[in-house]
Amino acid sequence: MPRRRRAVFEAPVTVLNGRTVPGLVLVMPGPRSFTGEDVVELHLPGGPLLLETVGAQLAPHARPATPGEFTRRAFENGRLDLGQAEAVLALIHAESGEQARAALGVLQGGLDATLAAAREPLLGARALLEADLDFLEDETGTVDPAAIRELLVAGLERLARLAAAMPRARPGGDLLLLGRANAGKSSLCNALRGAEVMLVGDRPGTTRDVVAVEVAPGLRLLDAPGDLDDPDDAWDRAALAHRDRHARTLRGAVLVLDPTSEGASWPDAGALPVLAAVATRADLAPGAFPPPLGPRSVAPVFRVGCRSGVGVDSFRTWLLDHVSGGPAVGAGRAAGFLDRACAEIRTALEGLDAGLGGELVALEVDRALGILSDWAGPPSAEAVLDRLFGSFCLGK
Amino acid sequence: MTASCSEDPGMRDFDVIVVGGGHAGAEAALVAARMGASTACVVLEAASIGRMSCNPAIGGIAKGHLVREIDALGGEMGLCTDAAGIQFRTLNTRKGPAVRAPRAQCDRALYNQEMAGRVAAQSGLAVVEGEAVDLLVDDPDPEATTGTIRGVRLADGSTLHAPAVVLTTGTFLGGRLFAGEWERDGGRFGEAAATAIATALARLGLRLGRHKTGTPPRLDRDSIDFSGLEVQPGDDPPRPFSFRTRALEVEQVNCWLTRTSPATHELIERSADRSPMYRGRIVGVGPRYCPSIEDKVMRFRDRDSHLVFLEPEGRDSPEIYPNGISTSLPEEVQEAFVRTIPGLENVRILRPGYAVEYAHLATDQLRADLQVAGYRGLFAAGQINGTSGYEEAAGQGLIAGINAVRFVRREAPFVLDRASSYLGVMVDDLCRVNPSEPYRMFTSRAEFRLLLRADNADRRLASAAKELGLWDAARESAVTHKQQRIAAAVAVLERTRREGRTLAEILRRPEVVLADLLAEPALADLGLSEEELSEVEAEVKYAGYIARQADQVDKLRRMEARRIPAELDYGALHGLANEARERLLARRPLTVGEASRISGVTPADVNLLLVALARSGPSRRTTGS
Repeated sequence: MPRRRRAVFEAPVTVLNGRTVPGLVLVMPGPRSFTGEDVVELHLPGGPLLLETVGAQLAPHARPATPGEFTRRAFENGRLDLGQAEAVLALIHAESGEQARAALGVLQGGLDATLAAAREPLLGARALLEADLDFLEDETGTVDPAAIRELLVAGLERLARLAAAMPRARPGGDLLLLGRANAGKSSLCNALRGAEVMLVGDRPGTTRDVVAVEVAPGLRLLDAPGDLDDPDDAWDRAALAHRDRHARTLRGAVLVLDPTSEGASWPDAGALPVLAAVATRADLAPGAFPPPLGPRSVAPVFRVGCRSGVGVDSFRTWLLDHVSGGPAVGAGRAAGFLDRACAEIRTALEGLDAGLGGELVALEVDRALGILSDWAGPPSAEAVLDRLFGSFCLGK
Repeated sequence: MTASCSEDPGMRDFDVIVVGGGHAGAEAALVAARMGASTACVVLEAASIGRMSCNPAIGGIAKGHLVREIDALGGEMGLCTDAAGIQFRTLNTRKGPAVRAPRAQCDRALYNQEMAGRVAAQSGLAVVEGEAVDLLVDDPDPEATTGTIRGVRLADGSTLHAPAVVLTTGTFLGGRLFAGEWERDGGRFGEAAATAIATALARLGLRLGRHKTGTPPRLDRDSIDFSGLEVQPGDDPPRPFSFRTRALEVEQVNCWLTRTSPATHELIERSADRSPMYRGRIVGVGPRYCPSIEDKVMRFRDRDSHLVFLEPEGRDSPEIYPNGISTSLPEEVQEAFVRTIPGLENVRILRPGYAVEYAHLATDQLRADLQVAGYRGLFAAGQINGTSGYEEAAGQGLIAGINAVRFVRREAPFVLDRASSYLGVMVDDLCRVNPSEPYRMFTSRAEFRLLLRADNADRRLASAAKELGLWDAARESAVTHKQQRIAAAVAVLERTRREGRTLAEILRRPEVVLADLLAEPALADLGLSEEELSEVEAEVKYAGYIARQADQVDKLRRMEARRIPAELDYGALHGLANEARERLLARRPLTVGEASRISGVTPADVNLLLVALARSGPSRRTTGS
């Protein structure tokens, strides 16, 4: 504990219309500062007018920091690694003790250890799957799918717990379902409605067809089958119109695609943030996968079969986990990766239960592991950095 | 001795010298000669070319895939197997198309004869009987491990000169045999070890490791009571190994299944201390996937029985190979324990089992063309590279043979990537890390397993085979024809609808197999062969998964194409982890892809490398395939 009033310079340095204002100046020479650079901090009494005046006076020499700039500089100067930089974000946005503890764990350099615990059962499941593929039953005995299942579930639980502790975007409000004709948007709504989801019905003031399904208090899925099934140009215009009409409550889009359709490609959400994507007909064509979302997207992709209900629960759980109606805060990159990894494991579990070949289940598990590797050691540093640092809502 | 070579450096008796005539040596010598290089194959005994030193079987899961790839590149192993096979089976038929693989039981003597005959008949290939005892090297520097190969010296003092030498000495490299308290130098039972060459390699400053493998006692067929044993028949009809074999006319023989009993385990446990392994006489590391029976008994004490496959060594051979009980216990213990196995109560042992410990090159000294880094013109293939198995050896022999010729001709190395073949996966794995146990191929080593099937090896490697001149017009048109028939069948499945869904959609369901749809007239009309059917099934069932991996394949190929300039200053790369810097400096990888797979180099290090390369100017593409 430093002696009182001695650890800092105490000086009336700030000038306002020729007068001094009492304040504190902290000088922290690099490289042992937060960013590793020389840092000077001015501590002044609050007040917008004062802030503006001082800002104007400093203008030739200084400018306001962009969101995340201090953390970015700290990273670039080797004071933080990527996982730790992310943990700063997590800590800032932590809303519960558990979230804060998870973030602190990572900040203290524990990302590898945290992940290792979740990876282990997944690697175990991979090993069992491989034993069944690379050896004959004569040699290994029959590999019990229940043992594989158990490991996958354990891995999923650990990842999901970690994901829940990570800060994330809380859309609240309404989500717009975007998809071409017959992509399965209505079926998706029906499938979600099938289990204790209330149909809100036509919304007053909108076109006759807009249907909103309330998944939880504060979050609705908007489905507009009539308009959006028009040919491309009309479809785009309709999407824009919807966006404008619901601008105040619309938080983002959920893309819907039938991967078996001709030239299947994800619709463009324009400026609307894509929060999740759903590929339909997973039950009718388990081998048909959607094309990847953009390379920079961390939105999870769900494979849903509305006829059999496969994957519907996964999607609903995700929606519920992400809907609190709270304010939108910095989008969670970590949560995005973890969600995607969880979605892959759920797909693996569904495949396992449906009797899909071990080589295909193994592929899903491998993808989940790959996503975790991408997170822990990202493949394209620049894209990741832009995303990460751009999502800081505060200066530091 | 390994010293600078005083003879005229321009002297050249051959373009390529292959030392060894096992599965690696035979393929290396054959392919080099076929590519037009004047080639010598130096062996102790011409008749031993292509000899099977372990069990007389070729193929198996992942290994069968390798043989099909070797065959697609014009290699000999598949053809010899078809000629010498006495039982053919497709393994994993109840599992997905990607992991189905051919396996054949061969007539040991016939296989040996076939391969030796093909080598003898190959024009441009001279078989030289003798022991290679030293390498002729210009400007050898054991400190820097650099030099230029000029040829080999034989035990009789004569020399053979060539700018490229392929070493395929197998278990003969510094080999030592063990059974109980008995031990002696040797490469195979009754055959001498290649000790001198091991010494020569060590003198060149190359790092060697030691591995161990083993073989079971051979049993007298007439002393076995097969009456109570489970019979394992071959497939009817048998499917040939080689893409070039139209049909197999073969009368197949049976194998039998029996198992060890608690009495077997008790006997082995009591004598375990007499095994050279447990007496600490063997330091080499054996394969975990192929343990000796004493290892199985001692390590898995909860199992009271292990399977034993009784495999005939040939159609008329009196020998039976008991697969699953490889051992180095003393001879009298071997005899006692085999007699506790049902069916073997009165068995006579013709030859006892033994363990063999042998030297291998640390494979992180190899480059992607199987050239020993630093020694220009020195190539290595097979068990000398720390692998186990005939198929792994043959595959490397083929790659090393091809690259030896390309080296002599100053052409770019021939390197297959991991998305193209198991051959590519194997060579890349070997260069990347020095395996701690004998390296065997598994399908799980291939991240693009769905692409790398045994049935499509010809289509996957068609362009490479053509580029190398290893394919004639007949094979090329056969592949084109097959390609068209598969495409037509897939189109039919995508087009034909049943109950509102296409046949392709129905086939993608996990519980449906193509055989369920064969009654469909549109499909039946095409009259597809069994191989084509299996291909069509894989194409349809895997289509979505393969498309999903396309971005990974793209990324892999982009990274492989991103060349790292030889002069890159790793010291100036700010932020590179120390471990990564050391590894990169030691190895100087040719491409970013190669760098990314060096252990100790993290994705973050690769990113730094990419950023540095982007700064230093536009990327140059690698030459070759």
